[in-house]
Amino acid sequence: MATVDSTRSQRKVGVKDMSWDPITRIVGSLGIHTEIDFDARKVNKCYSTSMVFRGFDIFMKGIDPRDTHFITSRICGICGDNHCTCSVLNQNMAYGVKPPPLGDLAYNLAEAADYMFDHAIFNDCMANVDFCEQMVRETNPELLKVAENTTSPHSDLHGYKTIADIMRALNPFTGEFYLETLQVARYTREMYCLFGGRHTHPSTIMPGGVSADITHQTCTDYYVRLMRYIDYVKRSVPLHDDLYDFFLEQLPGYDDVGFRRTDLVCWGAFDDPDYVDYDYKNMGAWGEKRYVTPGVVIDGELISTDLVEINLMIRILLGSSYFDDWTDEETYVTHDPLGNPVDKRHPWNKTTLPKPQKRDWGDKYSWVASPRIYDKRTDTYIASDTGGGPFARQWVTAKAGLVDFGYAKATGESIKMTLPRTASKPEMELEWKIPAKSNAIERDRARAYHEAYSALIGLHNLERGARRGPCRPHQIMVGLQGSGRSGVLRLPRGGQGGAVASHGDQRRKGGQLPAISAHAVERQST
Amino acid sequence: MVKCNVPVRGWQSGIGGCPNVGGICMACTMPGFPDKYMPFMDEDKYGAAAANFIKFTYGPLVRHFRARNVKTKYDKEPEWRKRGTTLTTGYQKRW
Repeated sequence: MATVDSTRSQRKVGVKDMSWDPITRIVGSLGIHTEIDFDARKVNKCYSTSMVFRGFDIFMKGIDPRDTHFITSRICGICGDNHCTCSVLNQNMAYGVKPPPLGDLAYNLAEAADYMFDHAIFNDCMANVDFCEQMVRETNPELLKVAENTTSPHSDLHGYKTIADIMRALNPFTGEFYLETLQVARYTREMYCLFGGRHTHPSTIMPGGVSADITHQTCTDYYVRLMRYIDYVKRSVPLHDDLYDFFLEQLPGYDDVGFRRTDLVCWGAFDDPDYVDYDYKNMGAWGEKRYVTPGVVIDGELISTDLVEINLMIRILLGSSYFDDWTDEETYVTHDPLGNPVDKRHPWNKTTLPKPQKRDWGDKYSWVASPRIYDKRTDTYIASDTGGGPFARQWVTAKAGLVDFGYAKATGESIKMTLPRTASKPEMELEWKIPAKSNAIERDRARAYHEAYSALIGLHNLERGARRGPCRPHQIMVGLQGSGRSGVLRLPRGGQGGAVASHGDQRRKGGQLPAISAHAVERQST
Repeated sequence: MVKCNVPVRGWQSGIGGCPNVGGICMACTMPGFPDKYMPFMDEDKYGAAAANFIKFTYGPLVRHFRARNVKTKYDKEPEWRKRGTTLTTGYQKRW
């Protein structure tokens, strides 16, 4: 296939196979295999694969359902706690338990800490490697020269005079801002550990609440670190804005990098304890009260913010994955508790039947299945993405305009945020506007703003929690009720929907947890 | 029956660690994890028996001697500490 025709006078590459496998920046060993026509400057074929096994629900079969969140969290070493929390929300719904308010707030505080951790480290230590000085010098030296002579518009806020200074600060292992972010990652993990015990496989997040001893000291420890983080965000957001604007200005066409139709899906995150009752029948109502609004966006249009509707739109297609079809297997749920029909391809009815085999580009070549959003208006399966997480979260939240908790307000076109005064900076206003395009830069930019957004959610929830004083939000659950329930939660880098299906006399033996891996969603959509 | 140093060293910069913040231990450092320790949320089978054995054997012994020592020794002021003009501490003036 590869025709490398090189003569001394004229080096001609022609059509060549290029492979990147594994891409370790993406957890779960993403591999990209392409065939590139260098003459026509065109990618002829492109396959994304993952050789890491998917199908954690197999491990859930037959175990005590109360253990599921401890096992699901092991799916990932970065976002395990989100899988855990998602599973716990599932269980709350399945058992019909409502944690005391501080329990819900503690879920939120732990999750907010994780979002802060993940967005900071992902943006500056992984994504921004693409924009750092070392990389730009090697790939585009002309651009670096321009950057040296471009003053950054927000240099008074972040302290870097030129764009090249920003790029140098982002150099891996030597850059100032890169190293600072590594420290930020440490203390945001400390924040998580205050509530979760451990990051990323928490030991205190339980159905019915959080078993951590939450005292005023816990809240103070959290608060101190949170304010340090908000101080950091006040430099981080303008820094990223300057950098990304520079790339968009200087490299025409850069806004087409990673461009795709705005098809988004967001399950929402951070429940409001005053509204959430973990009852499927009211899921649409309490879903809309989440601090991150759930929603499905098809071609730039917000279709729904109703979690029940969103849930019923999910389909798992086999795609090119090493799984056998489950159409002949048992149908666990034909109708949801509201009487809506549930499709055979819905994750509730999924039976995972792995079939490892040789990689074949014509047929099956990945462990990742294809989660899709079913659009009944056009009878199509939409490959909705999450925009790497924050993009979809902010897009939907901003558009829906339902969120207003003082520190942040969704306006229908943007999210307005007010960062309170911190040690080195006065109060600061930020506004994230819905961008015209869904592309790589905008996804990164959304992540920078989401650092601020999740910090504000943390602050708001902490204030709510601290007012309540110490208590032990722990309930012991006895037995299970119900047939099939689901909880859906956003992961920092994707989305996860999980379902505990338990029925009849299988109650004590445990159900199943067909969970779409966050990476599965990501892999297929980005 | 778990070998783990997390309770001592915390999880991140000394903060956290399952039992330190009120979490359960699911023996995740052990080679037998998770099968031999499931269900995690249930009490240990012999936990209550072991606790009761201690409660009625070692416990009363410790309680008895502790109470005796407190009564005869620690709950009393040293005999030199008493009111009066004479100094009974044994201190001898050098001037």
